[in-house]
Amino acid sequence: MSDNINSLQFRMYHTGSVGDCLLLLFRKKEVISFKMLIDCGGWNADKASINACAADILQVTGGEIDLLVVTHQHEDHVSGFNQARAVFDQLKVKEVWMSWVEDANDEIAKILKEKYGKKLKELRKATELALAQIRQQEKTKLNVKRYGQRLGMSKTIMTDTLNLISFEEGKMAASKLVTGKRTNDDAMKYVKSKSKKMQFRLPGEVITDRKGAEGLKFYILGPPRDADMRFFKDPENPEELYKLSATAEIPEAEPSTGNPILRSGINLEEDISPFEKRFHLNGAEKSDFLKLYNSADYRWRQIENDWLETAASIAMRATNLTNNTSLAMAIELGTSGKVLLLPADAQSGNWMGWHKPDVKRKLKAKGGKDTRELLENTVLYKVGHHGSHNGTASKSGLDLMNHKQLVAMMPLVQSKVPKEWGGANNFPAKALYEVLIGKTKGRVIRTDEGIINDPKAVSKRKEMSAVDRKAFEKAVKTGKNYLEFTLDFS
Amino acid sequence: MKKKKNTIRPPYRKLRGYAFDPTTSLDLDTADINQIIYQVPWEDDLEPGPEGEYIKVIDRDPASNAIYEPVDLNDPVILASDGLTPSETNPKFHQQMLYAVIMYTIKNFEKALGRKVLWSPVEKFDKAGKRKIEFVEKMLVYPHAFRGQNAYYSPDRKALLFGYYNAEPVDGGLFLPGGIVYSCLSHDIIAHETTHALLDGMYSRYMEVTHPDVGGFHEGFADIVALLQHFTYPEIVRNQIRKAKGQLDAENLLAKLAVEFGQSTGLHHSLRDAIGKTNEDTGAWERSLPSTRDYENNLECHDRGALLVSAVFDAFIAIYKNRTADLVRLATNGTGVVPQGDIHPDLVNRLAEEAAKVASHVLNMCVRALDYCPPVDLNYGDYLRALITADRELVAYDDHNYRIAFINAFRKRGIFPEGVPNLSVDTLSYQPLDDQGDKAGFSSQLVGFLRQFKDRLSYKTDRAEIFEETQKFISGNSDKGITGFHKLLFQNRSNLHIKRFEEITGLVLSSRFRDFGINHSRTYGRNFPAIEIHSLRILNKSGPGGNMQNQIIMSLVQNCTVAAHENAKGEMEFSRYQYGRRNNQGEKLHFRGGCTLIFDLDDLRLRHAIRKPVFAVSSNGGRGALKFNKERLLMQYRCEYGDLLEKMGLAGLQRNTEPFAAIHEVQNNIL
Repeated sequence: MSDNINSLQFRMYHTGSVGDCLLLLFRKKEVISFKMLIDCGGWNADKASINACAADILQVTGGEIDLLVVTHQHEDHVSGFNQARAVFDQLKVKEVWMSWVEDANDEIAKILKEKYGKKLKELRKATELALAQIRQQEKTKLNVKRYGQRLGMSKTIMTDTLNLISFEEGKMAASKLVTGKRTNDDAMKYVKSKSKKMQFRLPGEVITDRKGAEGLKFYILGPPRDADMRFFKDPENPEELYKLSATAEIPEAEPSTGNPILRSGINLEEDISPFEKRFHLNGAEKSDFLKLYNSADYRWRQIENDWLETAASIAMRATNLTNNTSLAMAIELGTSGKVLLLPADAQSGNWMGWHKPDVKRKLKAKGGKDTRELLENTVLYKVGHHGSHNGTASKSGLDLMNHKQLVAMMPLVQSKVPKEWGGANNFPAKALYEVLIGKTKGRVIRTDEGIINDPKAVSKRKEMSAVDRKAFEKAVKTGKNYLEFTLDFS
Repeated sequence: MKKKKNTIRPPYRKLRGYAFDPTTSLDLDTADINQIIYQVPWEDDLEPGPEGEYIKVIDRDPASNAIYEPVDLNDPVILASDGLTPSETNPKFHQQMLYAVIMYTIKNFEKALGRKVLWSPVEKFDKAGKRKIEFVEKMLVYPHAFRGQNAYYSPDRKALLFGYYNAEPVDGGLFLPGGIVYSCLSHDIIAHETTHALLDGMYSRYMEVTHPDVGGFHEGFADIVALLQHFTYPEIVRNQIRKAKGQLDAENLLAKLAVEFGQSTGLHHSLRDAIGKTNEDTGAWERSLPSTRDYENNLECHDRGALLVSAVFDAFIAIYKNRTADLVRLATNGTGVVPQGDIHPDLVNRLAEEAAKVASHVLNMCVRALDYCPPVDLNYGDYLRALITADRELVAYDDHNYRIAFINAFRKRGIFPEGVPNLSVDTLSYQPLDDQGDKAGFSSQLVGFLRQFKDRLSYKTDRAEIFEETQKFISGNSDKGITGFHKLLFQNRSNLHIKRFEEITGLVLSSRFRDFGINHSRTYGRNFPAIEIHSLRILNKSGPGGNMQNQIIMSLVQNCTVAAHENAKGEMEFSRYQYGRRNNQGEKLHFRGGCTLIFDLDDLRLRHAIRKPVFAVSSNGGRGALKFNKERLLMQYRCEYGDLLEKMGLAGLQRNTEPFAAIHEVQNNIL
């Protein structure tokens, strides 16, 4: 059909760090008819790199895009809207999509955001207190092996935790701005103001009527919207992770009926003891105790920081939770039936939510394909969460992607993976990488490497016919600050 | 008038406590058995805390900014009523519960090991910066150390930390929504953490994950002790058998009970899968069937630990079944079918007693085996061999087939020790070295040393004194006329001698030590390789036949700094790591070899040398030069840098200053 979209130019920008900034140019014959931007950000990205990306977007699109999608409120996806504000000011946006979580009028979203904001504040307080205590303790040198080392390690962990919290708040890259401190919240607000047509998307929706996008079907898969939010709380379902412990039994999910919306976490108030006053040591007894406890014999054995150090693992999980608010979608490409899959940074809970019966039913009724069919027909997969072990679900995701032409695009700059995320060694996760290489026959494209030169991938590509290999190599283009893949589906 | 000091001591101190944890008391089925009386060895000088010979409970709660009053277990009121009444709201009872379970666990270890246990010492340095090893008399125990669903042993601080947290409302659970759960009130958690500390006191290198089994062992072994200790209280089993009515099937009975123990603590999820669970379709409880691929497939560290627990548990059940077969036959007139209705109370008692007895025997065997383990890089095959050897040496006649039960349980899970032609008691146990094996006179060279050591330490019972005296033997003390062990080893410097010693210990003793990245000795100078003496202990075990086993056990460890790099063919190569060299040598590994030497105290002969050699054993026999033990190095490389890191589930693990905290961490919901 001549008036349908028949090719896609998928551009993945190098924002100077780990982050997503994806430009999708859809063409009818040779003419661009629909322009779409998904996210723009980087972990602690430098201003120059990200401005160069924004400038390129402005130039290529002629200053106007049809659709801007911001998947979730993380710095590595939104910092560009703060850092390159002046450039984005010049960009006209016809329509903006975000997930229902960003909708200020959504009842569940309200509770989620409020609880979450409170938790972040608590975490910041605990972390700052821990750091203050550690600094105090460092003043006394002790002749015990590993004492100083352990304090130093504690300090590193807590500093990293503080960075993670700042990342959640979006203060990291923004702190470098001359124009004052802007947070992730500010970026989200700005994006929301970019177009009068601001839409909050719900799972199960299928959008087919956009002008210039004739032939495209946009399927909204996640984040799942449930009163009990159990999918959010499951960022690391063991059966979905790429750890390859093949025989582990799968724990049954707890039934969710009748549970309150939110479970109580640790809400013991600081400084308030669970025991009655009569059990507490006071006066002379207390000072005797403290004298001993603070003596050189006991100092290296104190436990003053342990309760604050749990903040570190909670902060990591907070990051996972925000990842699970990712707006995940699939785009069916014209009559070819082929699918482009865009999970943003969704973790296992989000992926599993795509398979909920009501979501599948709605997708099928409105667009013709259910979740399974979409995954089975995926030919271009934007790898979730920069290739982390929990950013691509196995059973609910990659296991089902078996299309012969599958190509994976991974927004990853390995050398820039922050140690706060567990370090560059875990990106991409080895087990996931292996499966991806197998499924794509080596057709994996990375921001930092282009067509990957992993030996296994190279040998897999050699197994392809010369024609196919040439065609693939031709479809990949390396620009000065981007990687691009062109998919023809006419 | 001055009170006359009483010379008669009570054998035990009786202390009331929870058999499981407080939630079990809320369940009608188990309420009546949840309170038991722990009998712990009487300590004369028990101070408020409690603070005794082995532990000091310090009830500092930093999150609440509070210190709680210590319990005085010698208070006549408390003494007369077998301790304080179990209570969640009284922190003094929490202290008592900790003391009771920790001391009970220590007692079980001492009984099995035939000696006093020592905690791992602390390394300090004096003003000149010189390293010194200091005795740690008391483990510090913090009942309310932090708020969080966790508990851990801190090897750096020689302390056990227990957390408390708000319970979540779980459907069908017994927790009060928002109620507080104290990990220090759970028998299993306390026994588990204590075992970590005890094991670290014996083998401090078992925390280095050089093999998937090493990671699993610490967790698995701690669970084994917690689990078996439960069964040593007959009243718990008695209740279960009474309820079982016609179902006397041991597998169901004991295994189900084991899983129920685990459920309340929440620490045993992988254990549940390893032992068994309710079949959703039929509603019947089923045991998990072992497969010979289990060993290959369960690499994740918790699954790996559970694998060991399930193997030991399997052996426990088989032995119990064997020992009670006659009782069941008697009770059922040979049909094996128990009539409907309640079981005769006498039979219930007898079965419960058997279960408690078997649990105590199996626990003994498991702990005793530790003495026959290498000091580094332990794998499950080594452990099985240690278990069989230790038992065989102490118990001459295995009339209840305990050893066969263990071999079968391990075999069914695919655990096969390396270099053993087949699986039988004979081939699995280490053969005692004869005079031939000791041609160069390893023993005779040491005989003077051993005799002196024996004379000085045989009757010592004070732990501090044992430690200090032993240190003198390790490093030498000219004032006392003691030649240090290290010096002794190198007195005779003939090549033949050194070669034989190398063969026995698996360590590099010749001047070639530098090629292996081994440092020179700090005490004896540049020409001698450094060797760490990890332990030197004298022990007296008594067997069921009344026989005594008197031994000296010594463990030696050598540390090599190795660089790992890939060659052109994509294979890993290993060479000595060169400090100060600029260019990239590859990944740095701290590779260790070690051996455990067991001497018979009666004739002062070397009986066993259980080794993890630094070098490839085949290279040692011929004339060829010694080469690195590539097999072990490769495994360590895979664990630290390679594919196994991820498979063991350690790759993405939260960084933590406490090694045991991360492993135990429960993923709380953050909202």
